[in-house]
Amino acid sequence: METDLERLRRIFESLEGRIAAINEERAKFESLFTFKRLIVKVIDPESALVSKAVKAPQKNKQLIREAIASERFPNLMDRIIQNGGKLENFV
Amino acid sequence: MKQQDVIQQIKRAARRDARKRRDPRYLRTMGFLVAKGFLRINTPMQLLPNQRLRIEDVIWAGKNVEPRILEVLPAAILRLERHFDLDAQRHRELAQVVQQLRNREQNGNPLWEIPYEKLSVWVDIQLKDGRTKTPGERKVMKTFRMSPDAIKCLREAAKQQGCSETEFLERRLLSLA
Repeated sequence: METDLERLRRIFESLEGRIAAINEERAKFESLFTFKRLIVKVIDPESALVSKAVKAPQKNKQLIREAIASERFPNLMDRIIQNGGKLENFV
Repeated sequence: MKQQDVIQQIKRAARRDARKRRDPRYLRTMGFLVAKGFLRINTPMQLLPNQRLRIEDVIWAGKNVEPRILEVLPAAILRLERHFDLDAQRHRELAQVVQQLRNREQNGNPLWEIPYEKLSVWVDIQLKDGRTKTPGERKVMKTFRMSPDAIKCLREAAKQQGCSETEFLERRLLSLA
């Protein structure tokens, strides 16, 4: 009988290539939950926005516009450009 | 384009986005899709589970505000068709994809540049309305004529097992598979 952990591993393996995030030094991960065999971490908001702006700009257009316009993420635009994204996608 | 100019243009676009998010077409569409469990939102929104939506309004909301609306729309029509005014003539491509999803086709048409495989994942999600079954779960009416002895046997067996006669038959049949 498949254990819950095996089932979870199978689900994540099937999603490989579909879930993508930027691999960047400035991305910070904070532990959300720590279990015996599993650690769940959450990425910082600015890095999540950079990832969305670079990996799926059309889908996240309004979100990124709002984030830039809010001026709450001072490094957001520079990081988008440094990771190969284009600010023109959000004009 | 200078970065400052880009920033100003983005800010103007963000203000236009905020106006579009107040549009009734978007509010009705999202209110319905969030109420049913197709989409989630982290800002307060009035849930509208009983809406009947115009396809044109839903497409407008998807193209102008939230692209994920377009991704879930075919599956939403398939699962909750009475809430939409889908017309096979006016909405030909959309109707074709809905039919492909209904037939569980592996390779269907993309829609609004969204690949078919991304459209199809929404067909079997668990909706908030517990009464709504996926196309594979929906029960089909069958009528049989049985002898009085068989009926009596079925009634007693179901009573012994503490289930309905339908459940008893389903369990026995599925155990043969």
